Amino acid sequence: MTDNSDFAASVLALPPRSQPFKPFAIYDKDGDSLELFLSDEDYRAERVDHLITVYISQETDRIVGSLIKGVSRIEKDLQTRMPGFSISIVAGKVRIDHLFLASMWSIPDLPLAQRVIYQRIAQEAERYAVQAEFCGTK
Amino acid sequence: MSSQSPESVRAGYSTLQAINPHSGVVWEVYLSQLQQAKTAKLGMGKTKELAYLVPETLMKPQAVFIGLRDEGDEGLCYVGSPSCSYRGTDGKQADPWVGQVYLVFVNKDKVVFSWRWERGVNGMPENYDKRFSKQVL
Repeated sequence: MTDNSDFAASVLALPPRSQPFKPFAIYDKDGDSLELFLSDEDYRAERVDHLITVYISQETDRIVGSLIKGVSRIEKDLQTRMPGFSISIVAGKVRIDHLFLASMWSIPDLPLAQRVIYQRIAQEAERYAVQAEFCGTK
Repeated sequence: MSSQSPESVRAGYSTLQAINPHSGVVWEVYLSQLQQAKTAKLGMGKTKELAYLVPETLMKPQAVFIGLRDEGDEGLCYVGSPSCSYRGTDGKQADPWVGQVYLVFVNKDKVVFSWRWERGVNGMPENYDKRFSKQVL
């Protein structure tokens, strides 16, 4: 590799999406994080706390996505503290709204303003029934 | 940072050049093809951002921080002020977002795992002094 122009060329050669945008979530093992995209609008990120970063529309200021960090830690915590949550994981997939609520419950004394953000994201994820692969965590 | 061999993480990853904040010389970092495919699903704006702004920030950072303070990790955060932004699903080039900086996060295995615009003050991300353990560049 001579410079990053090879990288740029390979990224720009990725096939463009062929269908209208649909909300989706993706788990990334390198960041041990799960990203949720509710829209394809331009966004900026705002860190809420050590678990959640929300993606805010550059144009409308509404939440258009989010990132949960430490997913494998949350998963382990759930298995020990809230074993009933395991029923939400079906065939290796988890509903994202459940994961956000579980993350919220994992933080003691979460301030109301942050709780509202967690709940709003969970509601949006529920509305679109977004699921993510939850297997293969570290 | 980890001394893990690049060979062990290369399959399924692309290689980028970045400034090593510890030495000032160029080193290689990695980005998964899964993340690249995800970006393509978000349209040309995000795709051009990945193609141009991520490499620019990695090679010409105005600051690099190590470690998120509340997690105690060893990852790096490259901070840049790109000369432009790419907007919308068609990726039209425009001025950078006002009052914002561009962040690229690299984990301890030198894998890029997140990149985005965030609010900034004087070219630094908001609350950078509370958020990161140490500025290394």
